[in-house]
Amino acid sequence: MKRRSWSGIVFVAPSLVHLLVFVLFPIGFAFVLSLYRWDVLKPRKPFVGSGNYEALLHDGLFWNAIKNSVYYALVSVPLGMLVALAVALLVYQRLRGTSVFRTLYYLPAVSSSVAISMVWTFLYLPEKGLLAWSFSAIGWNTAAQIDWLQSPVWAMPALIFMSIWTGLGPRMVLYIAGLAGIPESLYEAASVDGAGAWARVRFITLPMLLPTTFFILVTSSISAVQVFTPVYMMTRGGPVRHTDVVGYHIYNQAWRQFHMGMASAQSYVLFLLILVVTLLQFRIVRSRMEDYSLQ
Amino acid sequence: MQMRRRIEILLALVLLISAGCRAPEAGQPQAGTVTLHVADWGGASSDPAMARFQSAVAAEWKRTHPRIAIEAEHVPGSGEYVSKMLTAFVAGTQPDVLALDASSAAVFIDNDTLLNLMPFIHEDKVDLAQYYPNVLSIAQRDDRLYALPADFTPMMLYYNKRLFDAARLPYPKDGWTWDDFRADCLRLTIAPLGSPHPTQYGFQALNWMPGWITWIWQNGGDVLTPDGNRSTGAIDSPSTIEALEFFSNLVIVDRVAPSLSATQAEGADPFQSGQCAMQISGHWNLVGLKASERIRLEDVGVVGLPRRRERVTVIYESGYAVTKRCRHPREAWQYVQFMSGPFVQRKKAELGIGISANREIAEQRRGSSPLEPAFLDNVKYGRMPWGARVEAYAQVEDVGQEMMDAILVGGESVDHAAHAAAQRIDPELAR
Repeated sequence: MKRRSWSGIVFVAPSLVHLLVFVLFPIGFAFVLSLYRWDVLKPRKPFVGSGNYEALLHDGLFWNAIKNSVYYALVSVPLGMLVALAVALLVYQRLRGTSVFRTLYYLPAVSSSVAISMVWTFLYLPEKGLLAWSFSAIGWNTAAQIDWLQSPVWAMPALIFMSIWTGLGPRMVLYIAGLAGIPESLYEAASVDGAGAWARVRFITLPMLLPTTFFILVTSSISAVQVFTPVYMMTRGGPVRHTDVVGYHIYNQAWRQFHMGMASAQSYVLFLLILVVTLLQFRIVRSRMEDYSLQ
Repeated sequence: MQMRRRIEILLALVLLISAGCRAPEAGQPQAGTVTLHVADWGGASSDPAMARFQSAVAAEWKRTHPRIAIEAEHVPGSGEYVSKMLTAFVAGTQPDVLALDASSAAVFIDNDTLLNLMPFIHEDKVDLAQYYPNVLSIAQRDDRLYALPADFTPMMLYYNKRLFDAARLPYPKDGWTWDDFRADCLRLTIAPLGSPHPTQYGFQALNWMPGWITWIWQNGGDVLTPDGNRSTGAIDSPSTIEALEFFSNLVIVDRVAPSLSATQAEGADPFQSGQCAMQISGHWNLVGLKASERIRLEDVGVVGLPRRRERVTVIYESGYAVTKRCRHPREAWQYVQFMSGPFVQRKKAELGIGISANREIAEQRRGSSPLEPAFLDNVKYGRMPWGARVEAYAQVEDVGQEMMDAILVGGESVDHAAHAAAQRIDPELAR
């Protein structure tokens, strides 16, 4: 037994080493950094203890970034999940051509998010963009004049709208897998009991999809709070920090201002935030699952 | 048996790892050869002309310096370049020679990462008078010089001749004023009958601080005090605020210019499509205009920026510097001279990205295109960007950008936005 576990370790060693060197060590080192005023090129990197964290408490720009991230996550995650569920229900039908649609909806997931962001920047262009053009074609001239990505009101919804489309593929696939796992017999039994189409969705599909929904909720929430690429590509956090989400804020702190200590402290605050939210989600959903005794 | 197996596995593992760690041996240099690591930005481009230029430069260097091998690293995007270089310095993997961008020169010079080139210059009797003095001074500190300039550009005003002709307007002339410029903008902004939304604008107001800083300077204002230590008293001064008002009013009040963010402009370029009659840009703009199918180069005119109290523009430049811990400074210096020397500068000028910092080579290009004289004649009005002097200028630009956003799309008053910006910039500079 002992010997076998030893050779097991040897087999996982490469990925273990990788994990240690490129994941665990940086995580630990970032915590050390967060206790220093660690400006990249400055030879003096004084220890400040909790100084960075204390400064963060009064840093309006950081909390603005947290607020933006919460806004982004609170809107994009539920909406994205709803759309993905609806699409999954549609393409799960045994109809001809659904596989074509499945592929089409999944395509954004295999495209470069940088390229996607550039294309959407064009779509959102004022006056010449496809969106503006469509609005003016149907006579909505006020909407056609909106500069989506430069408007303090519309820039964030524009990013969220795009994220629903880009995130659709993976969520849809997960929901399809969840749907495939629901035994046909449940639906048959319900039909015998006189349940209509909506009742079957409401009392069978949705509860049975709860584990899938929970998984998507947790992973989507985490990635929503970490969103970076579209912000970097499309708005640079603007206009006037209305899309300065925390992932982009930390990037700027580290790679534009070179305050690595402060950026690390911000990363740890972000980590705590994600941890708390995830634990909360676990608690809420676990109790729901117990209701349906799906544990 | 078990034991041997285990050893075999371990051995295989060790071999695997050591194979991965071994230093690259490709192109094993001959004995006595020195290898220089060189970093620049903009890099291995898909543009065939750029690729041809790079290989011609490499071949010429190999021919003239067979014993100095060059390992080049092209970092895409000038924004990532600075952060990538800084990390390299921290990790001790910095290049021997690096391309120095005027806009971020202070970051490298003030942190003592570069070698003073003056001893080499004295030794080799290099005549520094061959360079434009205002371009050379970008990397100068007192009697030290940290980079030889390569090429540069003053920011200029581009105009579409066809749109001027259609409006029966004379082309702008060097020495023109803000009032002339605004009058032209008003005449060139055209809306179809009965529509409040113009289909053609006078100017493209790019919301990009390196492009609009000149308006402030032309009015005698600035974003930092002359010593570069403070923003209060400069960005919130009456002359700066007046300039910001002039610029933003083109967008908000006169509505003669759509405001585009830099990322948006990349995709749209309303100047090329004839939607905007004028834009401000550098020499590099000609590369895109030449390749464009939407505008003919013959229809493009270039003129110095309009003046107010002062006639001034900003110059953006790149030079080559030797890093401090370089193990072969002598060879690195040779490469710097080569990159700023006649062969490379002549070849590069053909690309159209910039003007050679070497006056003679630049002047030889005067007749190369009808647009070239305007550039050359405006060099003397060129002022270096703040980034060449102030290390934290990237942060100043971020705040400045936000200030302009707040004015253009946030509905904030110029006065309020400028004072708020000063409050935020000062602590950054004091860090």
